[in-house]
Amino acid sequence: MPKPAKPQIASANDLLEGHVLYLSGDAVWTPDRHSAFVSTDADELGALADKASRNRQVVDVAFIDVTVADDGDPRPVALREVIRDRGPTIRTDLGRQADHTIQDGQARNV
Amino acid sequence: MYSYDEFDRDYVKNRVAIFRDQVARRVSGALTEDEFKPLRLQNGIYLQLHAYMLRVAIPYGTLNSAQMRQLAMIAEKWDKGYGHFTTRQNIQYNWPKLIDLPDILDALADVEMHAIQTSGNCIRNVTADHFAGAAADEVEDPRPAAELLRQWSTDHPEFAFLPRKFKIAVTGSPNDRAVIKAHDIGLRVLRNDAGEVGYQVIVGGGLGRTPVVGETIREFLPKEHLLAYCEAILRVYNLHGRRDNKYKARIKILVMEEGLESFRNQVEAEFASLLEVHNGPSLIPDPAVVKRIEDAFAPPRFEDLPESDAAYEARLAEDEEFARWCATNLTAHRQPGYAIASISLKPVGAAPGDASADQMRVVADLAERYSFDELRVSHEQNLILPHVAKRDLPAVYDALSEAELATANIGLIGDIIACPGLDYCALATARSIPIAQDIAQHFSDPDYSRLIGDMKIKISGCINSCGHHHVGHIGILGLDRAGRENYQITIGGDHTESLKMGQRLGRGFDAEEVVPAIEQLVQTYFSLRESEAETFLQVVERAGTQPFKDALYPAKEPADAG
Amino acid sequence: MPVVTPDGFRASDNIAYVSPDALPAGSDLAVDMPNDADPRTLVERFGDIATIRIAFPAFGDGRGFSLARQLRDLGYTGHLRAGGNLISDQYRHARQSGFDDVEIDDALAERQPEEQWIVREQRSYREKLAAR
Repeated sequence: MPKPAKPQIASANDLLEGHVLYLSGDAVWTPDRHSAFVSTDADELGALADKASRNRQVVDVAFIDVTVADDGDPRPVALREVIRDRGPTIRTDLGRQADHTIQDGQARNV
Repeated sequence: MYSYDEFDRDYVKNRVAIFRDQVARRVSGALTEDEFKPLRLQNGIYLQLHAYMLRVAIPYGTLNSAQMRQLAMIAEKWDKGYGHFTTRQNIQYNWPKLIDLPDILDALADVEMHAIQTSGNCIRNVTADHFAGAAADEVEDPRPAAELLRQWSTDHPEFAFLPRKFKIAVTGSPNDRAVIKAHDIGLRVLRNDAGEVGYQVIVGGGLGRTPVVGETIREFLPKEHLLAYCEAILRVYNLHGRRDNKYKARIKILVMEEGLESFRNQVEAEFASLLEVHNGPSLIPDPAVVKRIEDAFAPPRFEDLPESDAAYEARLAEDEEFARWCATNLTAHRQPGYAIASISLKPVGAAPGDASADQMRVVADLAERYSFDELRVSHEQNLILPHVAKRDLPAVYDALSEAELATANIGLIGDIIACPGLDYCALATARSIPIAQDIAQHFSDPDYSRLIGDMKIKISGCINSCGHHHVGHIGILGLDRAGRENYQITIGGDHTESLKMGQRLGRGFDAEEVVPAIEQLVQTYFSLRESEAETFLQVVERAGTQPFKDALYPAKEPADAG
Repeated sequence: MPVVTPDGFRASDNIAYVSPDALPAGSDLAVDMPNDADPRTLVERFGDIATIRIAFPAFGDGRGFSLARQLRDLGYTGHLRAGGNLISDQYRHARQSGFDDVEIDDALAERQPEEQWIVREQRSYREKLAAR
């Protein structure tokens, strides 16, 4: 029996700047995780990622497991992805957690 | 210190131009990501969790004040105001942008530095004893050999696409401070019965997934044959090292699978044919090049000083903190009236090896004023002022205190090696830095840590062992166990000339259980030691691991159950 | 299939290669050498061989560089060609290891045109260190 598919979002890093990006439902790579497109279908995510990558060069595309909060916010499951999303746990002054331009609403998930 | 000749300057500048071009071709699509990746790696550039990471080579851990100031400038201009000194004597920046990297490499070239071959499947930056040229126990300064190897290995046309990375370390002293037996090639300068200076050559050591103590492939190699012999080893490895499995691709696996004797025979045959090569340049380096390198490492112009100094002695007598710092952070210098001063990058609460740009500048100023413009980076992630007159020690100490760099814990339990771990590293399976911080905090009482004495705790956040956990007196390995960070503890590892891998005590611990477990090990040590002079490592060697296992895993819980 | 030479791209010559395991009699041979072959087995026939092409099955597999060096060290003075998956950034390694030219496929030639193969003039450390 096939395992029930887990909800996932697509992530990548920006080629030129290196920062973390997520894939939105309208096929755009964006720093905003809250607008990331959640899917249980890897093929669907893959096709969307290919489309988005034509407009923005990214590297290391990976699908990561999330849980979806009541308000629809997709939250990474693995500690690695949580840290990648926020920044180093030992330097909360660094990384996305310290960048208020991309962290609007981030407080919801801390 | 070695300074670039015209060749080096042109070479490094040209490599920056090549890299600038490679970035442009990556953006244009002429290079695919698969093609670009090894090229950026060979320029020290990784993609980590949050951003790119640049690893800058500090060849054999030696640098001057102008270079340190430039590292500080780079940290502020293109990064986040700090850098991380690594267990391979390099510095890493955690936040550079790819588009800025050609400019950063140019700024490095301006002060005769580069990031070439700090990553990738090639011969990596050569490391050496951090006390080279200063230590009282040294046969000869290992840095001329290390610099010669740097030049030979830089963009070596045969060895830029090896099966896997390749690390070489050199020591000039019988007391190994460069962990040479845990390197692909380890070299020890020694004198033979005839009084000639040459190298003991050790091959096939390494930590990581398959920890192996390197074995001697040549008891004595004459100096002039250094490059030819290394070339022979590398050629055999390049041709026969495994390429089918990344985890079996290091030279240690080849040596184990072939057996040392058979491997040695192949190397010696290749070496013999290299020496009588039919055409092309032979590998005996130009004596003029060698002499220029050796001259560059001639000792500085030390003053003729008495063994001690009255002002220094007076301060020792009246200032307990200063005396404590001197007791832990100074090492005997070969020159009367001088000392080697280690600067701990492990203040309680800090990430081991991190230094702010301001701290880098303080250290640079001190080196310029008090240490013949020389600095060292140790594989233990500390900085070193190698040649300080004892008369200047009070002033050096005061300046360090001001910059929060005077932690008196070198060699003690708070002087922890830790890799960046899951806070930064894309390969990590668990965090390392918070564990180091917790332990340092718990043992922050200086009297308590002195009571414990000589103790090396080494923490890796994954099996690749950048934190050298296998050779820690206490080693901690962070793993991911069903989505939870889990830490395995080993004891009895030894990083010196008597290199030994530690033994795992049993099942791993949750993060918050690590400090109590370490405390338990310390208490067990106290109960077993026969005198205060008997170190933790000596007790483990004498009493074995069982008493420590019993302490960590009381009877109802079977040890080693997972 | 273009061949990259120090003078730029030129069209590949249609050579009939033979296997090093079964060298036919005669001379002016062209040998297609896999990168795990032992070059010492060819030493006796060096005089009969005009060209050796060493295979690079993947650009990250650097065995061919050592093989080229070994062949030159053993005294082979004929034409030495790298064939397969080298990229332009490896051209300097190929030349400095003893190759005369590099054979690439059309797709790569299109993606990495001639000007990207021109090596910036650069001596290698190997030359700097060599005894005079």
